[in-house]
Amino acid sequence: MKSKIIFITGILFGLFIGWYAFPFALYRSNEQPLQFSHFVHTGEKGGMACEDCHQTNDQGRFQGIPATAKCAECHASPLGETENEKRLVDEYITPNKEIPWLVYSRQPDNAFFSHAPHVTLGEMKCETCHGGHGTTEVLRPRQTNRISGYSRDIWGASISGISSNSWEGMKMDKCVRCHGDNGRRDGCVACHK
Amino acid sequence: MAKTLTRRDILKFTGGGILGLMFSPLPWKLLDDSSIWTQNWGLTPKLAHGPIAEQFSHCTLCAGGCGIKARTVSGMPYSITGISGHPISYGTVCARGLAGHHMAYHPLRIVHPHMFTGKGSDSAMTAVSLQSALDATAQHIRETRGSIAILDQQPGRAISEIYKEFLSTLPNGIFLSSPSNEDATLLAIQAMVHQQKSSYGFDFENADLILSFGAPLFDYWGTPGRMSALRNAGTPKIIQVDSRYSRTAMQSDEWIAIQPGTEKYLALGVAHLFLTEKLIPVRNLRSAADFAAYGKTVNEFIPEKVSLLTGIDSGRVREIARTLASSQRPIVVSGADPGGGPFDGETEKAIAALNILLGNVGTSGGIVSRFDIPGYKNSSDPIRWSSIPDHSIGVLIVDGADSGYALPWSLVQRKLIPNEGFIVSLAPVLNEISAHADYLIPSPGHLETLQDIPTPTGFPAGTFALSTPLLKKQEGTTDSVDVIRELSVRLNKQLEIPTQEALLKQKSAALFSQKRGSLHIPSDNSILPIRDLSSADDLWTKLTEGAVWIDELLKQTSVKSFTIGLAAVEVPNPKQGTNELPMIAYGWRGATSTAQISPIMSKVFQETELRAVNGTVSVNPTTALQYGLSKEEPADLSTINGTMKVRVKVDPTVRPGVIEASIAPLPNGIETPKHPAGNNILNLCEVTNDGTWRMTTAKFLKV
Repeated sequence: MKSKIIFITGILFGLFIGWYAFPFALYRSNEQPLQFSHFVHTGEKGGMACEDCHQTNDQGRFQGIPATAKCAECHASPLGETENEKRLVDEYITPNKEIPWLVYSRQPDNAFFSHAPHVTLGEMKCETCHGGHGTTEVLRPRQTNRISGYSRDIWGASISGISSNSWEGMKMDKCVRCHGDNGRRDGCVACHK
Repeated sequence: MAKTLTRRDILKFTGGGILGLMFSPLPWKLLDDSSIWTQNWGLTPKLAHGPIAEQFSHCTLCAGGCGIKARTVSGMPYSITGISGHPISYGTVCARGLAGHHMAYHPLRIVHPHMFTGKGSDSAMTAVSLQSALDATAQHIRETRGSIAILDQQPGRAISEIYKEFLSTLPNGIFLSSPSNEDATLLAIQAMVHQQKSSYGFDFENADLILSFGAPLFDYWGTPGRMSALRNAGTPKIIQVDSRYSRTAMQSDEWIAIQPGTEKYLALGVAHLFLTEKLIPVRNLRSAADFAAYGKTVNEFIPEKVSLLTGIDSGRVREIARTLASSQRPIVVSGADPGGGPFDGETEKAIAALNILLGNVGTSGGIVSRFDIPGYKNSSDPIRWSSIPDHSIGVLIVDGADSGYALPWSLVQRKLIPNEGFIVSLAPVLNEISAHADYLIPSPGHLETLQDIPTPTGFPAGTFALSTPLLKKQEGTTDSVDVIRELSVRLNKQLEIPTQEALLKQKSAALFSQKRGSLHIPSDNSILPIRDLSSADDLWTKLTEGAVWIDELLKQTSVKSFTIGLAAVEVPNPKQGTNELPMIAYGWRGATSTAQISPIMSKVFQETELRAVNGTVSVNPTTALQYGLSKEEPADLSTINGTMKVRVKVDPTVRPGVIEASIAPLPNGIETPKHPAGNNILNLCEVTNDGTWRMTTAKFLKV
């Protein structure tokens, strides 16, 4: 009896380590250099859309995270009284310095991804891959995998890697599945140039 | 129950823990992450991170002269596209060119001189110093009893002149070009014209009809962008005479299916109708000095006989002749297939002569003469393989550029002195010719060195551009011009050979001094007349930034005096009672023998067979039934040159009684560096004395 209890306790302990404790050990958290509220900008008050800052240039190339100059278009001097905005102006806009954002969705170097066929041509919504990020009030820390160096967003929030939402996880199998569901059959070279 | 923990308890707990872990993501996630970690080790090459920029250059993978725009990260190109508005390539780049920046990393890339020793399975490649490779080459040149030849598959470049100059100092120097024959019609006409030699081009843009005898016009012929622009414009009308339902045949206005090897009979039949039905002005007939002999030759090719020979209905033959004659600005062009090789000389003459009879030489919308490019010597005609005696070449130097058209090793081999022929390859990749070399002195690869881009085949005006390097030149590679200089020093030849850059600056300066033509500036798609430039340096700067110079159009003067040189044409008796079938080899330009394609282009061959893989033959269902062949099953194909296992495809578009054989590279290049020429159908083709291999007969051994 005792040995059974001990054995089961061991199993439970293993499950606890694997499911709960392991992520804490695996990922290190790095705070963003500056706090930013998407909600303030895209909510009712700001009324902005994703593409107002995350633009596509004349040649169709997606510009990614906007440069400080974009922020400066409105925040050349503080519009409000928050500490974060003051820091934005004093530490980045005034000295014309780029904000070293920690990118959640950085793909490995061997993966080629272009927003143009997905957003411009495919008319996909930003939320499909980026979820409700555009309405967040704070920027969560970037959780970086200590072994691979990639963001937790690539694997997905759940340590199992299984998710029911399209925006959770950005590994290759997710891309392949979505491509398949949409009738796209691509060879390796489409994404691994 | 005991209250103390025993060793057994700890082991049970541990066992339970391990079992619990197995049902958690931990071990699998660690495996995944560890593999990613190994991919990011320090030794793994990493992409550059840095500023994104655009650079303009020109492609050197064939003589098409396409303008390319490279997107770079920290100076490293990661993507290549065409240049919108480019006056030669119209914004188009072929699949090879799009992947051109991959070629620097091709698995068969050679970046250091090597020596080949041994034969067959005993052969080996040994790295050697440049000096020893050059010393060995110079020694063989000194000691050979045969001729010394340089094979240049993109003649007309500045280096081509250096080759000719070097060869002129040698007792038996021969300048060779391999038979791409895109310019076969133009060269044939040039040989026929009496007046001072001019270079010619096709004024397709102003023509209203093109009759093409097998030229793969819409399959990477000439400059692909130019041809696709014509196709998209819908004019001129294209009639494709082809023994295969080729990609060009599919996209033409009309396909005339012809029995393979009978193209000259159709051309002579059309000429016969021109004469007998008086479809063309008499003055055109009289322009040929040997009209009487020519007339006698064509006399016997009545439509009914042509029909029997070619398989084309006699009424259709008449229709072709009448359509041609009634067109305002027709052009007749002959063409080689990249895999199937050139037509024989008689066929080329028969086809070229139609242009003379139509009176379109030296006329707008026809075959137009061009100004000579300033700074370039008016080059002599390349020597045909057929005019070189067999077993006469003692030393063969093979330039690194390729035409994209097949060059069978057997054609080269038969011209070498057996057991003495010495080959030096300057190619940057191992290919089916360089794999037979004695020494490899690799030149810089595509986009690694400055090169000139001469006028593309058939362009109606002269052009000049530079291929500006986008990639770092590999340390162990040597520009061809430097190789020739070193050889001339070793051979005590008093030649002043400049560096590659100095050589091309001379050409650029000559262009500037003529004050003729204009520049297309790729960055803003503008046109700048040469006379508006301030200096030769200014021109050089713009050329290195990707500009292309286009000459003025020469005012045309209709050429009136020719000698066709086509004597009696024999019609061979058909072979009786043989189970052999004519084998039509065909291929995709740049993927046949002396070139490689990016191994990442796996979609082309391996994944989807957009192009038939090497070792694929196609037959008509009736032929398959007759020979007991099954779809997709292997069969043994035998020719006079040997037997190989092939994969059979049954295709109703293939002519009954004919085998279509794909000449393609072996997957990802060549099987081994030692002797890679093993299983390519090209080696089964029978190369005739005139250097052609269009009419190999083959049979299936096993049924």
